[in-house]
Amino acid sequence: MINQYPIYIVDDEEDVRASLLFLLESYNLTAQTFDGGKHFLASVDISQPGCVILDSRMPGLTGQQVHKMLIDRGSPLAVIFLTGHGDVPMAVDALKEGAVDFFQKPVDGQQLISALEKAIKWSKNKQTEVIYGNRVKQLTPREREMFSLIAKGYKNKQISDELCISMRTVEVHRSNLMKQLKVKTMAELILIYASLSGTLNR
Amino acid sequence: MAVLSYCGFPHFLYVIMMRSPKNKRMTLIDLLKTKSLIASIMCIVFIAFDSHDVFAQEVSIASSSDHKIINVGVLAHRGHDYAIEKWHPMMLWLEQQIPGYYFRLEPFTNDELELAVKEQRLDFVVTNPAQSVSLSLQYHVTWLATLKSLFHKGSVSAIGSAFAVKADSPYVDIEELTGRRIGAVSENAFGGYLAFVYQANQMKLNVNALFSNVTYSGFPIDQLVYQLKAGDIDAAILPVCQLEAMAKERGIQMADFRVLNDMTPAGGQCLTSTPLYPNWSFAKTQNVPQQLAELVTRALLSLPADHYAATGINSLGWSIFASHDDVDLLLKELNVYPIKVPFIQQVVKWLIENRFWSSLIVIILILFSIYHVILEYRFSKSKRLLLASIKKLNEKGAMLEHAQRVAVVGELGSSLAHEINQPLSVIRNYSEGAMVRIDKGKSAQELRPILENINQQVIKADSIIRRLRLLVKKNIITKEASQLEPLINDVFALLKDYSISHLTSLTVKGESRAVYIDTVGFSQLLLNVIKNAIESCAERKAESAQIQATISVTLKYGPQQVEIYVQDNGMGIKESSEKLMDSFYSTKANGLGLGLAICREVIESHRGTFYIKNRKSQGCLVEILLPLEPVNKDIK
Repeated sequence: MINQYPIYIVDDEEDVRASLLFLLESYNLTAQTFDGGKHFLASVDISQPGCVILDSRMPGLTGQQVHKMLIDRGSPLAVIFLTGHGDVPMAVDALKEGAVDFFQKPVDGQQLISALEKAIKWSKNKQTEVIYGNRVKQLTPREREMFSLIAKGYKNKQISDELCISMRTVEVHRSNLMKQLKVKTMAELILIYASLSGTLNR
Repeated sequence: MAVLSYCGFPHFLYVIMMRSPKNKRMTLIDLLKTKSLIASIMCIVFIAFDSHDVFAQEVSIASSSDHKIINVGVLAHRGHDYAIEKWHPMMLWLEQQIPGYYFRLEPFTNDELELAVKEQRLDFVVTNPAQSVSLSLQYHVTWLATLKSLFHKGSVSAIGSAFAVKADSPYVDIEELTGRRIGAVSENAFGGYLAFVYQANQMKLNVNALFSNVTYSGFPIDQLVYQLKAGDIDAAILPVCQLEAMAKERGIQMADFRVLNDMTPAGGQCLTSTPLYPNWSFAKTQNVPQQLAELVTRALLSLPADHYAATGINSLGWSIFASHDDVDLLLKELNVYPIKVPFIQQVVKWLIENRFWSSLIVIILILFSIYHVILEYRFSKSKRLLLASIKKLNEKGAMLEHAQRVAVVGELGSSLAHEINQPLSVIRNYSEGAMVRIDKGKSAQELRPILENINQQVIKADSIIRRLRLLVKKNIITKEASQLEPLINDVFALLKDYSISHLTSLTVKGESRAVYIDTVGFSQLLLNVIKNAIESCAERKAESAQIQATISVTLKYGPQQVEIYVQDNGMGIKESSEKLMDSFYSTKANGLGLGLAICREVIESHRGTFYIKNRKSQGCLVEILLPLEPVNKDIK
């Protein structure tokens, strides 16, 4: 399943890239290798979900810097850090920033594969978030109000009373909302609301 | 002189007064007046001089222009006045016999007489046999006559020693006086010392013991007799006839004294303890012309025995010069020839005579020697302790160096761990992958390349470990010709992951040659320098994040040496080059401060130079100069 999504390996050491690729291919996985952050960012569509295995210590752009750039550009890519030395503070920071996992070299192959699976899942979710997040951004303020009221369980009648608008208007807004969010059922709408609730109120 | 002046002066006055400008035509009278005028003037001048002697001499000249002054030096062994009193008649006799001469008598002591002869102030010399011999050997004196002794029936042998003791003393033999107080005239006196010493020697007595307590009275000799009489001395070495003469002149009693070792010849009138030697002699110096010498000799020899000039000096006149050979022999034997006593003997003599001071000196010398020995002992002890301390210090120094290297390893620790991890993680990836593939049925042959890759990684890891080991081990310095470039690249590799990421470069100018170096020491030196450069760059990067840290090494090969330049674009240095090189000086919080000091040591052991300074653009430049060949070919 995870074969559908790209895996990237970014490390400045050729031996490390080669050996990691060998390992992944043993598990029937494919990956693209890059010798540095700059090269990677220039070559890849970072808006698509996938997983990046980043070496933390690299000349030029460090792993952390690459990670930050991905976050800034709203990339759904999952990040797994590999590091040669046990640097706990760095690990904590990285995880806080949103890295999916963190491994010390030499890495256990099985663990890496499991982490990759998790990472792909995470990346997919992240992409959904990103998409829906974009859609929500397009909502008008009114639609946004509607969105939160509906999600809270308000009936149309209650909404018209609350917002002091006619029932007809409520229905129109509701329909637009569903179209805008590209959802067909209420359940989907509420789900979206739930998953974005953290970000909506910003 | 006074009489004449008194004659002349009134005459002079008369002339002055009588002389009148009118009388210009006086002839004979004038001449006469002029002559006495001159005489008067001369008299006044002589009065004015106020010198009795000049007067006296001039009387001779004035009385007759032919009179010549003859200086006669006489040994005054019994005093100045005694000599003048006794010898003046002899002078008068000579003047009587040889007209036209004034024989001027001058009394001298022994040394004064010799000096006068040396300075050629004398024409004739009268002295005792010992000095006769001495003078004749050193100066041009010719002996003319020898005195005939009154006490020895006119014999010319009349000199000797009488060893006298008090009559009531218990002494019978000379040996009994060993160590006792003995008085003598002087160590150079013939009759008053030397003759008796010689005699004692001939008698095989222990002379050193016998004469261990001798005091010298000097001239006049009479003192000795009085000292003996008073009991100040136990025995006296007197010139023969001294006692008899004093009995005759001074009234001492012969009965009060006894002479030991009586060798008085039959009929001899003076007691003697030694054989008799020639009497005093009359000599001429080279100032005297032959003719005068003949006249004097004739005059001396013709002196009648009963003339008061002869009897006054207890003699019967003069005889022809007697041989002084036995005196010569004696003097030679006693080793007291005209040449002065050697210094060391004089010193010993002085030391014995001044017993208080000499014992004091000896005690001081002994104390100093003891002190010196103590000092030597303490010094050698101190030296031993010092050497031990130096040895310990060297050991500590070596330990510190080792500590520094270990500390550097510590600082590089995480970077080194990271470095080693690389090959390990690659090995793991390959081996895990291989196992998975084997489970899936891949063949060993397919997987062979993978195993090769694994092997490569092991080799890489090994070289890292080796480099690390080199850093830590205590090295005995061994120098050999080595290429610098691989060493520099190794250091680059060691520091690749240290601190911040940095760019390194190595440039070679000129033809690369092998350099005679201690590879471990050089690696450590370079490691310290480049590590410092990286840290300095890290500091700068903390301030301005966009800076790309660059460390470049340039090798410039010359005919005799290689110059190594290490440049960075870090913070630069704030302290002076010397201060930085001080041991234990560190600007880093956790620094030991030994890094650059060890660099200095390595440089010194290679006879190179090391200089560190700021670049014009921000950063630091280190200049190292190493000779290519060993200096003095020393191999440690």
